[in-house]
Amino acid sequence: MKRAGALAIACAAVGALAGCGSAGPAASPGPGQATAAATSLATSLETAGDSWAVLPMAANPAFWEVFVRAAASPDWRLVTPQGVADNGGLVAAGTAGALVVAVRPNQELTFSPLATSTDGGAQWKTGLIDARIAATPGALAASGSRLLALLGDGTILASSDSGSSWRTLAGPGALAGSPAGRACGLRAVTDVSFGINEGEVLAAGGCGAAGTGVFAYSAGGWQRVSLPVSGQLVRMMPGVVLVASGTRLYAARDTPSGWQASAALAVAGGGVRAAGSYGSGGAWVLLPGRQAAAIGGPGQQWRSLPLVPPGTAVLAGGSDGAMDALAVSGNTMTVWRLAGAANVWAKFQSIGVPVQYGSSS
Amino acid sequence: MPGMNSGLNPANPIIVAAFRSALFHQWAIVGIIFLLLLLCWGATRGWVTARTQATAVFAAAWHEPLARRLLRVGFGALWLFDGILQAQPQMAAGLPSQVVAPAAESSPAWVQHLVNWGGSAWSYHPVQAGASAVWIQVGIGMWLIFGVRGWPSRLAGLAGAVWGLIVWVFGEAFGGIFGAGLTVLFGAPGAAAFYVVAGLLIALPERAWQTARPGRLLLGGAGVFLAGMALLQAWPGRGFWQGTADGKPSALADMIQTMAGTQQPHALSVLVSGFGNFTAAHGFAVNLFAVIALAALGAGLAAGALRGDTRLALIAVVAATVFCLADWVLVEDLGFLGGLGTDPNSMIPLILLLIAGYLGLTPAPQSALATAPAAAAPEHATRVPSRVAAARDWIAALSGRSVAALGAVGVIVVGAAPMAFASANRNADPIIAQALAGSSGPMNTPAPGFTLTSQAGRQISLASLRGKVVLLTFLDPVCTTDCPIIAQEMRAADTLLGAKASQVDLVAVVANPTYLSTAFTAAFTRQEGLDQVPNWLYLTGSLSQLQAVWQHYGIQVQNLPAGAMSAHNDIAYVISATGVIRQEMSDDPGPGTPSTKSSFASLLADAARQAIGAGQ
Repeated sequence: MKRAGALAIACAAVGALAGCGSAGPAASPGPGQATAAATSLATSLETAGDSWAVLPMAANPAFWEVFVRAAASPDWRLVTPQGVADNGGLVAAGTAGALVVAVRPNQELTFSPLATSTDGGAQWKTGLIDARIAATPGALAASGSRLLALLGDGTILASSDSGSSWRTLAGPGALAGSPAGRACGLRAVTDVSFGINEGEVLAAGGCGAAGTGVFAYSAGGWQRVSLPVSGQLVRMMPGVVLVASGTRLYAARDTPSGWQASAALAVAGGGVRAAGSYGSGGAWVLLPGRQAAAIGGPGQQWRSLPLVPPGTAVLAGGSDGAMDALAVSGNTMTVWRLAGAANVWAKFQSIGVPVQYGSSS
Repeated sequence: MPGMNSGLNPANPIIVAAFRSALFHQWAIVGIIFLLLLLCWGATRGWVTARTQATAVFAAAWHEPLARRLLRVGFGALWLFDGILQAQPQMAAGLPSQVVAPAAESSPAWVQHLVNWGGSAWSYHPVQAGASAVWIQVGIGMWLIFGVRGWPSRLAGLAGAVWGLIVWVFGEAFGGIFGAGLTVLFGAPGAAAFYVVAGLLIALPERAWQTARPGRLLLGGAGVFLAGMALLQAWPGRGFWQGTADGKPSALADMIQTMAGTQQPHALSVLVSGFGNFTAAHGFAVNLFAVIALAALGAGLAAGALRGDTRLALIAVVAATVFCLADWVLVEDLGFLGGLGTDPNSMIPLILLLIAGYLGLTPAPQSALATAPAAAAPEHATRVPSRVAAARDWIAALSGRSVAALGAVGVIVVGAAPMAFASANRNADPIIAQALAGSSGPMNTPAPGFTLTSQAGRQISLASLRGKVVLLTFLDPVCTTDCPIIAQEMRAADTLLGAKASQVDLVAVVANPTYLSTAFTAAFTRQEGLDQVPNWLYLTGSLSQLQAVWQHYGIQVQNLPAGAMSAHNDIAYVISATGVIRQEMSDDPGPGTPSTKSSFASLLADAARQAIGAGQ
């Protein structure tokens, strides 16, 4: 046998790189792929004027944090729900005045606890999805007390009592096996959402050569929604679907008069690192090379933003029409603000996050 | 390789103390065996008959070929040395994780699977396994040294070959021959492979050594081996031609510098480190020299063996010995210093084989006595002794060395028997759990009562569980690490209890101030498959109810900020059928490896059995 000590040192080095014995790596896939499955779980959304951001603060294991900027305040606060390890990632959904986050299973935990706040993150009410929620940012949707959840095996669940109980809308493969899914060649559902029409349930996924498939659920069946653009699904959010076609990115907005497509945004490399909702029916995207863009509600077009600060994990709506970039470095989250007419990000706020390194490994 | 790593600190004092204790007790047994053998031998020496004298004369007259003697004594000494190295205090808990797992690191999955299987057996019974390795290797060493001739000596060779094969496969992962970066300079194909070859040669019939064939085979084989290693060393793209790559030391320089950094005498460290720096600076030249040297030595050895040219063979063997010694010092760094060295690596056994091969080219002529045993024992032909007399004669005829060899077999049995018995138990020894969590003391305190709600929504009071032993613990239903493992250990303990499980209730109380509804206890129960365990109860209540229970049982529960899980201490209580706490133990599962899980399950089951047995 070779000398053990030397080999053990080598193994320890390899082990450290591989993350031996620690909590599992963050669920967010790498950048560079313009598909929903490849888009980071890091996101932001708005609920009745409050801006929420969900992002990881550390790598391997990642500690996911929830920040909020109340409608009446320019400042962000750390409001991560307590009592559960979120190293597997958080999936967030918003509805009027409330944020719901589902904790992705991690290590020995195989189901998904829920936390809902209706008071800007001061208090959280617990709930449960007794299964693994999917690792996509569009796996959870909320509208009033109604919730939709997409599971890792493709099951779509619905709740009408804020997650106290769930019923199955579609089992694994049911949507792909439906006439609409077969006609589209649906490979996997990656996003669920509520439509702008009362009670409308939407599911979206990639359909291979046929591009993006968005499906509406009604009367126990699924019908494909006709989008005005074709391409691969990047992400579906309330009222907006991002679709990439080659190096062009489109936003299809759901309006009372039907779906409307934006003009194309040129996306060098074609990758969308992260995306989130912005304003009313708008969206933002983070692109490779610190590039970013945002689009307002229906009728508005993409606006390229100045290069975002290093470490930017998400963009979010700032106060007074500004755009905020939330950047992470170690255990510090820094808010950079882009005022309405400005073309430079200005450092606005820093928040030290008490990351409990080693607590979940 | 999840199975083999117990997760224990190799220096864990409980395991180290138990290992020392086992070695001490087995040492005492070994001493008794030798004492008894000496007494028997001494007592029978006076009964020597003419026949036994003749047998002894015959034995003394046989001249063992020098090549075989070198192999026997040389490898016997190596096995003895390895056995002593196995007695290092950290070996019991450290060998699987610090020796075996790194050795298999770069091997393909099937090798890792096989090695993991073997390593798991060790990690489940580390004390017995560690002690058995010591005594088996010491016993084989003694057997080889003292077993000079006849079938006992050949059997010693075979034992060495078999054990060497076990070490080669499970301890060295086939010497890394299926892994990346294979090179003879680091020790390929594994020292134990050379032990196997030596053992097989010793096991050859004695008449085989009367020819030059073993020597030629040995030298020829070594020549082909070294030539093959030269080719491998020269193969492009394996990283041996560069001293540095991307600013970092390449494979050879890195290995040498890593070895130089381990604990060892300063002078040696300086020497090895210097050579490491030289290799980093002149990687191409060093590898070129190694390739040429290996190829030339291989060709010389093979040619000497094929042509029966003893002069060429001598030159090649001397040159190979110098090369091997240089590699042993400058690259392998003597092989056993620092860390958990288990042998002096490959170069010393290779040198022994090479010299034995050369000596085997010129076998010594046999004496007339040695070839005519029947003529030396005329009494045997005329009278058949009784069985008792035959046994007495046999013992009386034994030489001192033979008695020692017989004792060596006893040493092997002393080492192997406890491990064999332990291996029959598929559950890990409780000592692993004790080593992780510390030992627990007996208690005799009334268990504080409580009434909480089960995962099924039923109200359950502790008093209502009277008549059964209660294993009580505190679990967080949304925990991602310890609590699910503790639950799995409790389930395994329930299985171990068998029919006695009906006399035990497994009870957990929620230890999370936020996620505490029955929805979570029910989900956790399903997650852990405990919904199929009838005596499992996962209890919860309002936060105030839970806080009261936590306080009574000394459980501290606290939410941590920023995405961390709720923190609480891991404690289990054994409550008797009459409601008295009999034992308090930490059930922190540590790394949650298969062996620690199994060990905790054994510990919990043992505690429950004791409480059942104690009755009141």
